[in-house]
Amino acid sequence: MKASVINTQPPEQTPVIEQALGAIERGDFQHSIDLLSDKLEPHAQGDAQSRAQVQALLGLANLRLERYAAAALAYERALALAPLDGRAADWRAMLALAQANAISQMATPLPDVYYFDREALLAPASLPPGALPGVPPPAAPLGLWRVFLKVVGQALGAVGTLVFELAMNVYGRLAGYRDEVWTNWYHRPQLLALLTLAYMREKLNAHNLGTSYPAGRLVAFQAPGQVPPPGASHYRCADGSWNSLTDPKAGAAGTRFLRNVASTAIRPEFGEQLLTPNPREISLKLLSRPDGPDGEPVVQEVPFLNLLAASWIQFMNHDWVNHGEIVFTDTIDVPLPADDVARRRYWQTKMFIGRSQPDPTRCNGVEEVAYSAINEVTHWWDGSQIYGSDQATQDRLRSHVGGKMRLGDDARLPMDDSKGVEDTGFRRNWWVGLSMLHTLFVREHNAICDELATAYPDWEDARLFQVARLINAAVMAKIHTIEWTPAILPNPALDAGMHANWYGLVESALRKGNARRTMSEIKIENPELGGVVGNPLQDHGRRFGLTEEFVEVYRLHSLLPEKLQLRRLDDAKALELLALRATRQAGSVRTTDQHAMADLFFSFGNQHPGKLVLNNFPRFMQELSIPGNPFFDMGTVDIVRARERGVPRYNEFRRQLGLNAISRFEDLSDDAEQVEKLKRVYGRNPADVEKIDLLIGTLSEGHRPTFFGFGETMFQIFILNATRRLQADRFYSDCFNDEYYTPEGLRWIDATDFKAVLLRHYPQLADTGLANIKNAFEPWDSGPELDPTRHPLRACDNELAGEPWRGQGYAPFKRPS
Amino acid sequence: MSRLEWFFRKWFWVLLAWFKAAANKPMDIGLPPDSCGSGHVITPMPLGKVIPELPMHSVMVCPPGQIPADERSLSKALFYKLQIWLYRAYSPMQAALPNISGDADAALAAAFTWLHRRQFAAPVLPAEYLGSPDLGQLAVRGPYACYTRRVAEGQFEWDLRDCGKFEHHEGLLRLGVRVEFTLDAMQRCLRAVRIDSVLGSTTPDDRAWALAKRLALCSVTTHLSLVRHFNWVHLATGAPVSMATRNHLAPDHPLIRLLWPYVFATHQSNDTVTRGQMWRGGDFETIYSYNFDGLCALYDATYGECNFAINDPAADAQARGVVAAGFDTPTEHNLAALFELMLTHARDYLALYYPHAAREPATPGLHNDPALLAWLNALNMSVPNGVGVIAAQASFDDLARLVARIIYFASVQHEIAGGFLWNYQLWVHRQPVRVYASGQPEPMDVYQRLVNANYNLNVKRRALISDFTNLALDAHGAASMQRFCKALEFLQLGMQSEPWAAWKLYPSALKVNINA
Repeated sequence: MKASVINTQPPEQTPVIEQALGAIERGDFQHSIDLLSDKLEPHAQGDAQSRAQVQALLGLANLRLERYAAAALAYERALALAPLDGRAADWRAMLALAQANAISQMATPLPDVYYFDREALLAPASLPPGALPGVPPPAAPLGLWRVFLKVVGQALGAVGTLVFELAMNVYGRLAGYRDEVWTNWYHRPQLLALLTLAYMREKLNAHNLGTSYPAGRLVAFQAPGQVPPPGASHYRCADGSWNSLTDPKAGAAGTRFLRNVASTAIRPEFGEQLLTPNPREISLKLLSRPDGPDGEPVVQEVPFLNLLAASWIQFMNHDWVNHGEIVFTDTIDVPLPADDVARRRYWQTKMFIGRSQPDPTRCNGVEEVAYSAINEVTHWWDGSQIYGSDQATQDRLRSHVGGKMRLGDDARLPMDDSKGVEDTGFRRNWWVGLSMLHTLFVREHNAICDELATAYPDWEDARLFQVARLINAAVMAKIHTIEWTPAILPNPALDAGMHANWYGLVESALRKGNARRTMSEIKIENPELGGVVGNPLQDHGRRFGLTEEFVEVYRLHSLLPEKLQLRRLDDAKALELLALRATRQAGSVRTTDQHAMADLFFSFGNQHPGKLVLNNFPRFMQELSIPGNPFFDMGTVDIVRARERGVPRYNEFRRQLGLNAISRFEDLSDDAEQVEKLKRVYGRNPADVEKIDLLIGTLSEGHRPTFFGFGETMFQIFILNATRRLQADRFYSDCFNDEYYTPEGLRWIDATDFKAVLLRHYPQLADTGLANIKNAFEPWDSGPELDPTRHPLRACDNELAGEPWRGQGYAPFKRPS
Repeated sequence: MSRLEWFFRKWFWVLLAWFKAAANKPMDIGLPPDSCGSGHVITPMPLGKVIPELPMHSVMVCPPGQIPADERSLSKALFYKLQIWLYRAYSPMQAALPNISGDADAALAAAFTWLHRRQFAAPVLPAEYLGSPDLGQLAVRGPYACYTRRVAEGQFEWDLRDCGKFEHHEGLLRLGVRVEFTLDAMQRCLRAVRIDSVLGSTTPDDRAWALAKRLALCSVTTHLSLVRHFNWVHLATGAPVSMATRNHLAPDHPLIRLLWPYVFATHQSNDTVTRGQMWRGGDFETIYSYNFDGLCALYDATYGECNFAINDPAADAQARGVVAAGFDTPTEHNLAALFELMLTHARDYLALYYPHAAREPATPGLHNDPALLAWLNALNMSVPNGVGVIAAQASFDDLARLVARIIYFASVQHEIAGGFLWNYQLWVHRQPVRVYASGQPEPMDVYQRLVNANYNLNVKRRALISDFTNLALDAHGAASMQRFCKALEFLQLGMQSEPWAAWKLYPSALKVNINA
C-alpha cells in the first residue's frame, strides 16, 4: 500500500511521535510500530495524554498494516488513557472500524487474489469429460391435441404480433414518450403506458445493443464451427459457455462486458479529467448521510421495501456481473479534500483506488471500442453466484449425491476453513445478507432435487443437479422479474409489464396469482401477449452479454443501512443493533453463529433499506476497509469506476439512451437546496451539467415515475435488460419447456414465489408478518390492516380486488370452520 | 368405460358426503336424563361381542341396546346402515384406477369438487409442506408435535416402530419408523438426522431419505387418525368417561351439569362411526395402509396403551422432555394456553360446589361426595391405565385438573386428531396415507375416499364456545360457564390479532364433544 505526505502537523509532537508519524507517512508502518513500542516500555515516561497518543498511533500503524485486532487493542488503550482527549471521537471511530475488521478478518483476501489469464480466456469452449450428463432420450412427440394447441398459439401469436406491433409503433410515434425533459409514460392509462414502454424498449433494442468485440468476431475471439459437447444442448455449462450453440462463449464467464452506448461515446477518463470534480469531494458533499441529533447518520428509508430487497439485488448482481480483482499495484490516487476527516484519521492525503483489471484479450489493431473489461462471472441468469462460474468451483460445491449441493449439518453453507467464511459460488463483497440468500437458494436447490428424485427415482446425480439448477435459476429470475422489480418500482403499469414479460398479458389477465402458468395450455407465440419466457429466442441480431452501463446503474449502495436491527421471531422489537460492517466476510459466520437464520430473515423483513437519493450513502461504506486496503470509500469508487470505464456522464448517458438531456441543474430537481449543492460541486455554468456523474444524476432525479424507487435514467437500462436477460437466453426461451425442465420443474417454478421459498425453508416464518403480505420484499407488517403507503403494490393487484389492505394472514379467519 | 364408471361412482359418493355435511346440524344438548346416576345405565362389553364382524376383544364399547335413549337417532342409525350396505352394493372403491395427478393442486381440485366447496373451504398447504417436509419443524408445530419425545441430552425421537407390527395391504411399504432428531440450539429447532424404517437406517445424505420421510409421515398420520383419534379419544377415553358419568352422577349433580356437553351423544356416535369406518371395506381399511386383519390387531393392541395424561399438555410436554429443551415449541404453548383456560374454568366452577375443598385445594377433601368417588373409581376402572386420580386421595386440585383434562380430550385432543388434520392429511404428495413400494402415488379412489372422510370430519357440530347455561344448576354455575366462554373468546381475539397459521389451534375451531 502506498503512503502519502500530509501537510498538517499535529500539535506538540515528541521526537518519537514525530519519527513515528514520519514512518507512517513513508508507509513504513512496521518501523513506526517499533518506535512506538519502545515508548510503551514500563520505564517509559509521559502523561496519560501523550501515552494515549502513542497508543492511537500504534493503532493507526497496525490498521494500515491490516493488523486489525492489534489496532483495536491500541485504540481501546488510547481511549482508556484519555477518554476526553480532543481526538477521542476519531479514536472511537477507528476503534469501531478496527474491531469490525478484526471480526470480519478483513485482511484475508476473499477469494485468493488472481488475475485474468489471456490464454485461458481465449481458449476454446471445452468441457472436462463428465462435466455434464449425457443427452436425455428424445421427448415423446406431441400428441394431436397438443399439436393443435401449439398451432393455435402460433396463429394467435402471428395475429397478435401484427396487431400489437402496429398499435405500439403507431401510438409510440404519434404520442412519443418524452415531455420537455422527462418521459411521460406513467401519466398515461395503463394500456397506453404499456404500449409506450414497449415502444421505448423497441427503440432501445434497435439502437442500444452495442458490442465491445470487433465486428465479425465471435465472443472471446472463438473460432467458428466448434461442435457443442454432449449435454450442452440440454444443460447449463458451469462457465456459461454453449448457451448459444453457434457462438460458444457468448455470455460465458471471462468474456467482455458489452455496451449500451455508441462506441464513439465510450471515452475512458484519465488524469485530471478522471479526478474532476474530485470524486471524494462528491462523495462527501453529495452522498454522505447527514448527522442526526445523536451524531449518528440519518438514513432516509424506503417505507415500502424491506432490507431483503437490498441484499437481493446484490445477490442478483453477483449472478450477473463482476470485474474481478482490482489492481493493487496501479492505483488511481484521489486527493483528499483539506477538511476531509480521513486526513487525520488515516494520516493520508490521498485515497488509493486500485484500477480495474485491464482486458488481457484486447488485440492491437482490430479493436473498435476504446475500453473493454472482462466479466468474471457468467452473464446469464443462471444462478452462478451459488453454483460458481467455473467447473472446479461447481464440483467443489456439489455433494455428488442426489444432485444436491453441499450444506453443513446445520443446514448452513459449508465452511471454507482456510478463509473462515462460507463456501459458495461467488464470495466477493460477502456479508450476512448474502450469506442468508445463498443459504436459502442452496436449500431451494436441494428441495428441488428431492422433488425431482421422487418423480424420477432412476435419475443419476448429475442429471438431478443440472435440471434442479435450471429450475432454481428460473425461480430466481421469476422472483426478480415479477416480485423484486415491482416491489422497488411499485407502479401499476410497470407491474403489469413485468408480469407480461414472464407470463404474457393474456395469461396475466385471465388467471390470478399462482394459478398462472408460464407455459399455459395455449402458449401465444408473441412476447407481449404470451410472455417472453417460453417463447422463441430473440436476441435482436446481437449476441447476449451484460454491459458496462448495466453495471453502473446497479450501484445501489444507498439501499444499505448503517446497522442491522436484529429481532427474534417472538419479539418484533429490535433487540440488538449490529454494525453492518461487522457482518462482512468472517463476520457473516459469526452473525449466523449467534443468530438463528429464521430470526435474521425476520429482522431483514422488518427493516427498511435506504432511499436511492442524494446524501443517503452508507457512512460506513465511505470509510470501508477491503483486503489490501484499509481505507476505501465506496462512494468515491462508484464515481471513479464509471469515469474509468468510459461510461458517459449523466447527460450524455441520457442522450445515448434516447432520453432528453437536461439543460440546467434545476431540471433535475425542484429541491433548491439540492440544486445548490450540485452547483457547488459541479459549477454554476449551465454547461456544467455535462460534468454531472451518472450516479449523482440518477440519485438527484426528483421527477420519477409514480412510486418509483429510482429514476428514469436507470430505468432505461432496466427496460432493456429485464427483457433481454430472458429473451436472449436459450434456457428461458426455446428450451423453457417440460423436455428441459420436466413438468414437475415447470410446476415448481409456477408455484414458487419468494415468500414460498422463505416459508419452505423456514416454516416458522409463517407465524410472522410474512404470512400477511404477498410480496416478500414489502415490510413484513403483521397487523390486519396494511398501510397503503407501505404496500402500494397491493392497490393494483387484481388478486386482492376488494380488500387490498386486508393482510393475507387474516383472510383465513373468514373461512368456514 | 372405467372412467365413466368412476365418474358416476365418484359423484355418487361425493353427493353422499356432501349430503351428510349439509344435513348434519349441531345437536341440542338438553339436561341429563333421570336415569343418570343409577349405577348401571351402561355395562361395557368387548367390541367383538357387540359386533361379531369386528373381532376385537380389548376394546370395550357400549352395546347398541344400551345406548341411552337421549342419544339415539333413528335417522342417523338408518343412514349408517344404508352406508354400510352401499359399501358392498356400490363401493366407493374401484379397481385399476389411475393414480392421482403428480400436481397436488390438480389432484385436490379433482377430488375436492365444487360441491364440497359449497360447505367447506379447500385445505391450506401448511408452510412445512411447501417442499420436502421439514420433520424438525413438524416435531414442534402442528398435529404431530405430540409425538416428539426426549431420549437423551439434545436427542429426541418419534417412535412409531409399533406401527410396523400389523398386516398391511399388498404392494405397500411396511409402516413403523423411528425418527431421530437432534437439537440445533442456535437455530432453536430440531433437525431430523436419522430414520429407521423398513428401508434401513437412513440419514439426510442418503438417496432414500425422502422416501423414509414419507414413511415417517405416513406412520405418524396413520397413528394419529386410527389410534389417537378413534381408538384413544373415542373408544378408550370417550366411551368410559361417558359411561362413568352417566352411571354415577345423578342428573342434578353439579359435576354432571358441567361435564354433560362434553360427554353427550358419545355412544351413539361411537357406534355409528365404528360401523361406518371400521367395518370391512370401511374408510379405515380402504384409506390407510392396514388391511382389515391388521386394523383389528392394531386396535386390539393399542387400546390398552391409551394414556389419559396426554390430555394435560403441560404435563405431557414435561413427561416427553420437550419443555425448555432449547428449541421453540409453539404448539405446546398453543395447547397449554387452551388447557389453562379449561383448568381455570374447572377450578372456578367446582369451587362453587366444593367450597371447603377449594379452600385447601391440595388436600384430599372430597370424601363427602360418594357419587363423585364412585365416578372416579369407575373412571380408573374403565379408562385404560386409569385417569391418575385415586378417589380416596383426591383433592380439589386433582378433581379440577381431571375435569380440565376431560374438557381438553373432548375438545382439543379430538380436534387435533380430527378436523385439524384437514390442512395436513389431504396433501398426500407430501404426507401420504399409503406408501407404495412401486413409488406410485395414491390411486384416485383412495384419495377420493380420504377427501370425503376428512370432509365429513368437519360436519357442523356444537362449538366449544357456546352457551350451556341451560345446564347450570344455578346462577353461579351459569355465570361460571359464561366466564369460560368469555375467556375462550378473549383468547380467540388475541390469536386473531396475529396472522393465521395452519398449525395453530383456535378456540373457535373447537367442538364441545366428540359426537359425529
